[in-house]
Order: sequence, then C-alpha cells, then structure tokens
Amino acid sequence: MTYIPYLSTIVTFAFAAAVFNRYRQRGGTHLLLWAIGLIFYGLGTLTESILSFTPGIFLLRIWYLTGAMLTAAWLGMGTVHLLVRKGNLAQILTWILAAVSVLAVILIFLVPTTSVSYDIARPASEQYREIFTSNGFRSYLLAPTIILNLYGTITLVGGAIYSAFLFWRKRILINRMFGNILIAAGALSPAMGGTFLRAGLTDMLYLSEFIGVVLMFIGFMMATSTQPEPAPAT
Amino acid sequence: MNTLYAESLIIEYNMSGSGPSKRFSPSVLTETLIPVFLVILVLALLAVVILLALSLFGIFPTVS
Repeated sequence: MTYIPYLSTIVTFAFAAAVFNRYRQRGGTHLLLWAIGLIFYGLGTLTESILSFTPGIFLLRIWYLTGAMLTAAWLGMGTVHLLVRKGNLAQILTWILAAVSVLAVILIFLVPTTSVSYDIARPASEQYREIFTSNGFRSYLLAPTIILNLYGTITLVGGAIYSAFLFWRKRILINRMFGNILIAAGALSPAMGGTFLRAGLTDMLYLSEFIGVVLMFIGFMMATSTQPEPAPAT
Repeated sequence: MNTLYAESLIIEYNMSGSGPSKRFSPSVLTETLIPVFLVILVLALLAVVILLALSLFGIFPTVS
C-alpha cells in the first residue's frame, strides 16, 4: 500500500495546478482557496510518501498538520466563498480560519512526543498516536482537528450536494450536476478514511485519500467543462 | 446562508460561460438514480458528522 501516497501526491498537485490555472484565468477567491486546500492535501500525501523511506518527527508533524488538520477546512472555505456572497461572512470566516490555522501550526509543534521511534515500515497513520504523547494529543490536537474537519466536511460536502441538488431540481447543466456529485463523494472519501483511522482501521486512510482526490479531480473537470451544443432540429 | 440569494448566484455563476444548451432531458438516470445518490450522500455526510461530533466528546472509540 505504500505506493498509494505517491500516486495521490501526483494527482493532487496536478489538481491544484488545474484549479490555480483556472483562478489565474477567471479570478474568484473560491478557486484560490480550493488551490490552497489542495496544496495542503498534496503536502499531506507527500510527507506520507517521504515518511515511507525517511523517518522524522518533523515530517510527522507536517503530515498531521496539513493532512489531518488543514486540508478539509480550507477546501470547505472555498465552497463557502462560492455559495455565500452576501455581506462579509465569507471574509470573516476566512480570517477566523487563518487564525485557527496559525494556532494549529503552533499546537502541532508544541505537542510532546514519546521516546518511540518512527518506523518507516509502518504507515504514519498507524503510529502517530504512539509518537505523540496521549495527554499531549488530547490536550493540543484532538479538539482543533475535529472542529476543523467538521467545518470542512460540512461546508465542502454539503456545498457540493446542495449545488448538485439545485442543478437537478432545475434540470440544467448536467455536467455540473454530475461534477458536484463526484466532488461530494470524493470529499467524503478521506473524511470516512479519517473516521476509520480513529476506529483503528489505519490502512484505509491512504486508499481513501487516493480515491477522494481522483473523484474530486474528475468532478472538477466535469463541472468546469463546456457542455456540447445540441444538434439543430431538422 | 441566504438560500435564495446563494441559489440565484450559483445559477448565474454557473450559467455564465456556458453555451445555450443548459437544460437536460429527464431520463431514468436523472429521475431515479440521481435522487438516490443525493440521499445516500446526505446520509453519508450525516454519519461522518455524527461520528466526528462523538469523537469530540470522547464517545466514539479512538485508538490510543
């Protein structure tokens, strides 16, 4: 299973580049925030890959920070910018998220570690709870991780389901309807992987990350593709 | 979220830059399967949110 993070990293950075390209062409804060979220996603899978041949507590901290704490929330923030345009709510939430993210960076470097060494033969998801002290993990990381993931999952997945529902109800833009369904399913995949991880099914995380990013990438490409013109009636 | 406002914005945003072919014809896929998919996605989202909330309060078992 160790090759899966490599594949995830390649797909995620290609996806981030596609989203950032679209932002450069069209503007839109939501695209920029999605690109930032995808860079966090890619950093998470990249550190997973590096950790499979180089042990390091610093890398483990970066893996947890980017993959477990920041990705979902920043992706969800992009969706909030797309859907909430009235007033300054989206901007205020972005500043709050930025502040919480800075706090997360501080917390991840404050959490104490045990004397257990990192084992490159095992996935990071299987051993981070042995390396961070139990008390440290509960005091510094557990609540912020869950709150960031709750926010990110509800906004990203909920926003995609809501958009798909609107297109379905109005019977318009079928490509965007399917695209949003794939984005919702893709975003749910690592969220479910994270839940499996907390239940002890550590192997599922890498696979769920890969399936998630592939589905979201396909969904994004579908949603942003131009629909073909209908054939003229004869 | 102001739903109506967001809704009109999404439609407006997503219609811009698209061709005139915006409507799709109803089919078994769009009338039967898509609603089922949407319901499944909502239920999966609810399940993940509930499990995350339970983890926050220490009810959902976590490996230590």
